Amino acid sequence: MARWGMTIDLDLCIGCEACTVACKANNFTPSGVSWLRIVKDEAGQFPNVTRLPFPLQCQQCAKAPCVDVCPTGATYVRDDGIVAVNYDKCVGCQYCVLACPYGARTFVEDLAPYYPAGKTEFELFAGLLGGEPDAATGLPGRHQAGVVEKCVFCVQKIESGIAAGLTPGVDADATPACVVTCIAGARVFGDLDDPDSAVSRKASSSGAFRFHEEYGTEPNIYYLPARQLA
Amino acid sequence: MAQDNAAPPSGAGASRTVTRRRFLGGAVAVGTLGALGGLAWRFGPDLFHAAFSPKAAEGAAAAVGTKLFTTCGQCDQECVVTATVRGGVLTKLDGVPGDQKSDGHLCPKGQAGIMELYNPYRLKKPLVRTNPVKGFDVDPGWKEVSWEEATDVVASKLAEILASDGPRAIAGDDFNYIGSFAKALGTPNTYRCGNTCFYGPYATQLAVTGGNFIHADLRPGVTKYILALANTVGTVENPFARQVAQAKAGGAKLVVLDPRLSEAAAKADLWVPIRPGTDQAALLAIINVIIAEDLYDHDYVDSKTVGLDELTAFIQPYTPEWAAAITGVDAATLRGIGRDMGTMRQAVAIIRKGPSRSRKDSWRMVHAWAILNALVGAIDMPGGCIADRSAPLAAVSAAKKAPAPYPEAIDSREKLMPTPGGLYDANLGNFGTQDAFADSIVNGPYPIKFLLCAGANWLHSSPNTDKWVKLLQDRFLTVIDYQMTDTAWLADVVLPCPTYLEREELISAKNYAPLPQVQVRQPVVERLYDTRTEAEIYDLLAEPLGLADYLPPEGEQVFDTRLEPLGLTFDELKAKGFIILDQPFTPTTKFKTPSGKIELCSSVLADAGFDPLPTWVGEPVEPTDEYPLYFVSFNSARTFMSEHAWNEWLNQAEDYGLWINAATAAARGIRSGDNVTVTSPYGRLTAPARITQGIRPDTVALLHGHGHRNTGSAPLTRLGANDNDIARPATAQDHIEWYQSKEEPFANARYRDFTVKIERV
Repeated sequence: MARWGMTIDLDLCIGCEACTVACKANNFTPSGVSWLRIVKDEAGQFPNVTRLPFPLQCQQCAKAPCVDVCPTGATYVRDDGIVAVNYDKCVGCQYCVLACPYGARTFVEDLAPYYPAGKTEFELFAGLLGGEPDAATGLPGRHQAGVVEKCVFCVQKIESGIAAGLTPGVDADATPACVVTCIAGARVFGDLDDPDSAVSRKASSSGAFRFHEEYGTEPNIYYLPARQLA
Repeated sequence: MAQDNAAPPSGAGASRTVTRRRFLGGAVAVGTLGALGGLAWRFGPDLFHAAFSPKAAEGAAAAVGTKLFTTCGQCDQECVVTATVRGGVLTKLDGVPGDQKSDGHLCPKGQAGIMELYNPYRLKKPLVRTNPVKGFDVDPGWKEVSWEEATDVVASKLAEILASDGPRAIAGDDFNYIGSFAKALGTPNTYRCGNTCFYGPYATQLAVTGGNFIHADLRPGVTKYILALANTVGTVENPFARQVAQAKAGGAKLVVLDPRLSEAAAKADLWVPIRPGTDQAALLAIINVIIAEDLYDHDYVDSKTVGLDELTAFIQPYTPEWAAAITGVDAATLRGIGRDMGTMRQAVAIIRKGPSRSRKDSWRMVHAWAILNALVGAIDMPGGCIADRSAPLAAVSAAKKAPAPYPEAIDSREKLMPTPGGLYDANLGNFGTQDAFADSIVNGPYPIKFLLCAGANWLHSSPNTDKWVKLLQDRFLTVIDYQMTDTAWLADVVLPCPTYLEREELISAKNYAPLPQVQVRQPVVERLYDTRTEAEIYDLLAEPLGLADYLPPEGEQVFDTRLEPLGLTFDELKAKGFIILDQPFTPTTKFKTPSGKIELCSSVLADAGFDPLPTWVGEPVEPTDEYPLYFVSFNSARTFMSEHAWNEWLNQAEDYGLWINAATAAARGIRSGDNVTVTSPYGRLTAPARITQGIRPDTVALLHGHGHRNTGSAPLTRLGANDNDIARPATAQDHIEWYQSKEEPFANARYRDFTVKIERV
C-alpha cells in the first residue's frame, strides 16, 4: 500500500491560483467553499518587503487532530494516508474545524449557486453525483450542506487511475488536479513509501519541511523553501 | 448517455514520443475509446437541453466521459486543451503535454473556462432595445427577438444609412472579421484595439529591428538572467509564466522593475520598485554600463547590428548616477544589473503590452529595450526573445465568389480619423487609438451614424467612458459579444456569439511557439444558446444587402484547403489536437531593415525626422500638490484585458482593491477595506483600499478590467473599479501634432500620463 504525499516548492509557486480553480473544477466544490487557498501574507516594510505565496490545504496528517476530535468517526485516515470524511456519518459539529491547526476544513452551510441567477448546468450535474468519490468514473462525491469538507488529494482520480493501470504522480489522470495544472511546476505528488519516487526525493531534499512540524501531526505534505528567504 | 460520442485514441503532438505515450496512458483511463473520426459534432437543434434531464445525467454520472481536443480562448495565447464531456456537460479542462503553450498545465483562466461557458448571465438571444434613452441607470427594455428579426433591424438600418449618408457613415471595431464586411460595404472606417494593446512597442521594434521580437523564449539552463520591466504581463499569460518559472528553476536570475510588488516581483531575486514612467532612464543607464565596461556580446553586435559608434557616443551622459535621481533606483543597483546582463549569457530584457497604453514617450523606452537586447545578443536567439514562427498554411480566396468590383470603393484618405502620413501611416494599417476614435466620432469631418463593436468593449478598453455614453445616445450601435459588457448595455441591437468552447477554428500558433504549430478549435458541446459566430453574423447581415459574395468563405472545406501544404485534413487535426512542424529554430540572420541588420541608431526613424536614438526628454508626468500620487494599473492571472470579471470561479480568488502603501494610507486616515476615491484631471473612481507595504509610497495601483456598471451582467462584475474612468484621452489631432513636432512617431495610447489624489469616502 502506497502512502500518498505531496511536495510544494515555495520557490516556484507564483500564487496564480490555477490550483485553486482546478480544485473547484475537479471536485465540484460549492460556491464559497475552497479546499485549497494561497495565503499571500507580506513581511517587512517597503522597500524591503516580501510576499511569499503559501499554498495551504489539508496536510493529510498521519496523526490528524481532526480525527481525534471527531465524535462519530466520520473523519478517518485511510490505509494510503489520505484523511477522508464520510459525509453520512458527519453531524456537522465542527469540532474538527477548530482542531485543525492548518485551517484546512470548511463547514458547508448551504449549497448556494455560484450565480444568483441559479445553478449552472455544471452545478446541476454535480448535484447528481453519487455520494462517494467514484473509482469507476473518477468523479468526486456529491456535496452536502451541513457537513465538513476538505481536500482528499483528488482520491477519485487516484483510484480510477490505479484501476486503469496508471501511476499517481506520473500520469495526469491519476494525479491530484492541483499538481497537474500547476503552471510553475511547484507541486510533486507520489508515494512517500517509495524512496525512489520523485516526491520522496523532493521530501528528503535539503531544507524540506512540514508545516508546523512541532505540532506532531506528521503531515504528508512537505514544503520546499524559497530561495529568497533561505 | 446519448450525447457521449466516443473519443479518438489520438496522440497529442506528433513530434514527441514520450508525450504521446503518456497521453495514451491517460486516454486508456477513460476507457471509452472509439474509432477515429467518430467524434464530429455538428450544429443543429438544441440537443443539449433536450438531453439534459436528471435521468439522462444520472446515467451520465456513471459514465466516464469523452475527451476532445480544442484550443483555449480565455486569453490570446491559445493553449491546447482537452475537454472532458460527460452526459453532454463539459466537466473538465486540462492542458495537453507537448503543446508549446501549456505543456499539460492550465492557468486559472484556462481552468475556469467551464464557468465561462455555463455563466447564466451570458447573452442567449438577440436583443433589441425598446427604450431609446441609454445609460447605466436606465432600463434598456431589452426585447428578445429571433435572428431573422435582429438581422432585419440591423440590415435595414445599414441600408437606410447607405442610402442617406453613404458607407463612410458606418464605422466599426472588430479584430478578425470586419475588414471584409467593411470592404463590402465600402467604408474605410474600421478600427481595432491594436494601438491600445501592443502596436506601440511593435511599431518601434519594426523601425529598429524590422520585426516583432517581443515574445520571450526563456529556456532553463540557457537563460541566465531575466530583466522584466515596463508593466510586463508577468503571470497573466500561461506560456510566459511557465517559461519564467522553468528558467528560474534552471538557475536564471529574475529581476523585476515595477513600482508594485507584482506576482512576478514577489518571486524575483531582486525587486526594484522603480518610479512609474522612468523605465527608459533605467534602461539607458544599464546600456551605459554595458558599453562603458565593454560587456556587450561582440560576436552578435558585430555580425547583426549597425550603429554601435553612434550609440557609444550617445549613451555617455546616461550614467547610473544620472538615472538614480530620475528612477529612484540607486546607481549601484543599476550598475549591478548592467554588469550582470553584460556578463551572464544568455541575458534578456522582457517587456509586453504595457508600453502601448502608458505614456507618450513609451516608444523611446521600447527603442532602449531593443538596443539592450541587441547588446546582450538576445534578439531572436534561443533563451532570449524571438519572433513568431508560423506554419505555411495555404492562402484561401478573400471572397466566396470572385465578385464584380467592390461597391463604391471609398478612398482611404476619407477615413474618419485624420493621420499625419509618413511613418505613422506605415504602422500596421494605422488604426489609431480607441480614445482618438471616440473623439473623431463626435468631432470628425462627417457624421458617423452606425457603429459596430465586436468584442472590443470600448467602455473598458479606452478612456472617456462618459464621452462614449454620450456619443452613443444618438448613434445606432450594434454589439457582438457573449457577455453583457458595459458597451453592449448601450447598444441598440445585441447579437450574441458563442464562447470559444462552442466554436470551430483552425489556428496557427502565435506567441511563445519557437516551432511552427497548428492546432484545432472545435465545439466540445452543442451551442448552449441561440448564438452565431461573427462570420455567420456578417453573412446574415450581408445577405439582404446583396453583399454576401464579398465575404470570405468559411467552414471545414476552407480549413482543409489551408491545411493542404501540411498533408493533413481538418478532421485529422481534430483527432491530433495539434501538430508541431519539424522545422528547427534558426535564428534570424537578415533583419528587415534598410541595412539588413538591427539598427541601434535607426535610419528609419532618422529618415522620418525622429530621434534615431532614445534621448531622454524628461519625466512625462510629475506629482503636483493637487495630484501627489502616481497611478498604475495591472492585470492578474485571473483576468485578460477587460474580460472575466463575470467569472465567479476567478472572482472568488481575486482581490480588486486599490493598492496603497501603508504610510500613504495612514497619512490620510485610510484603513483596509475603506472605500477610497481616486481623482485624476480626467475623472474619478471609487475602490476599496488594499493596504500594503508592496508598493511605492508615491504610487497607487488598481486591477484593470473590473467595475462594470451595467445591471445586466452577473452582480459580481460590478466589484472593483474601471481604471479607464480616470485615464487620459487623446485625439487624432493630438497624434498629428505629436507626429509633426517629432515627439511621437506612432499612435501610442497615453492613458497613464497623469497623477492622482486619493481620499477616504
